Amino acid sequence: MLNLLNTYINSPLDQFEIRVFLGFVSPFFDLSCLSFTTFSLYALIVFIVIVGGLNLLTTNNDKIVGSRWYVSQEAMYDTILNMVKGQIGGKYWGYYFPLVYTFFIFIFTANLISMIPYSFALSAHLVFVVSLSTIIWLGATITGLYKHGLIFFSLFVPTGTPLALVPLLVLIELLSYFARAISLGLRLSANIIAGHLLLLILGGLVLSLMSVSYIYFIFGFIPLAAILAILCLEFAIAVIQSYVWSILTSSYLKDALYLH
Amino acid sequence: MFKRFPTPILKPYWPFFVGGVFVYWGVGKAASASAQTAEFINDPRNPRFARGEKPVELK
Amino acid sequence: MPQLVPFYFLNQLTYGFLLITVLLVLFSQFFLPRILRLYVSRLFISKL
Repeated sequence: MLNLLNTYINSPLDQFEIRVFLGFVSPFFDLSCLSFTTFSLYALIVFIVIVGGLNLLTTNNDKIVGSRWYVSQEAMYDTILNMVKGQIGGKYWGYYFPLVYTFFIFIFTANLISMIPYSFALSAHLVFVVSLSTIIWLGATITGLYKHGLIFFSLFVPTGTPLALVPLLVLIELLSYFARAISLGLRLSANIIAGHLLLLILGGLVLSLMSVSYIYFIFGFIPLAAILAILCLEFAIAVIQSYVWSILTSSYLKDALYLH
Repeated sequence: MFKRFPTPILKPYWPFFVGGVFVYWGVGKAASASAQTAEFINDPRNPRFARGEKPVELK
Repeated sequence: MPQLVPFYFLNQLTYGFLLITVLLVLFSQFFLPRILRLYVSRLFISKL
């Protein structure tokens, strides 16, 4: 549970613990949601890294040819632009590109910051990430309903189905549509939680293995190399999950905007 | 260095803000409901202790 | 997972949504137009 006096880690889940640094106590309304916690600290760090580190300091004195860091920003811009143009396409892709780009950069930076040892994983908090995906799903649904009215429900009837199968298919399609709200968020947070938990548990095990004697120390480098391989996989997962989030968001927006 | 272009934010994204209000309200209700359950009612991190409610903690 | 079921739901949501909204406004009004402007000026210089 919560250990404020002990500086050792007792459970592998302690890395996700939220502590309050500067509490906010108010007399009439309960404004304790504004207190400064580890989550807000890392949100501030992500904000400073994204805005300051990646955009303000890389401008290369306004030259046309960007600095090397800016080339990486332009590469991410190009990737997301082509992905959104390919997925959404049509008349409306430009309106929704900043949203997909914001989500990509936020999740990318938050995941990479969580890979620093002893850091904090922002996207491992189920409630935050699942509510973010619910907002995307609700936003896409309201967009579709506003744009197409009741014809929006034609989304649930795939083209070319025989009339007898339509009721069953509509139920299945509805179920899979409602599942999109939580599956998008659950995918990201489950991946990050599982990855960080695995690394911490394996690290602890190898530590207790290598601290037994000298022979175990020498041979302990083999499982350590395996942990290094899993660490590389974690980096790849951190980047790929942000891309998967963005591409699925654009796919759901395409479904709502153009109805297949 | 950074010229401000008034790209529309409210015009394409208002459904997301509406959804955000709903989700915020819903999660707030769920959080206050789960803070009253037997598992968390006496947790020292519960904000009701900061508000002055210090009832008998025996359950 | 006790760390993911505490009383900090609203705190996470508040700061998370605040961050995402501020990032959205900053990106769509300042940073993305700047990249686009760079691309357009490169196009103008090279192809005129």
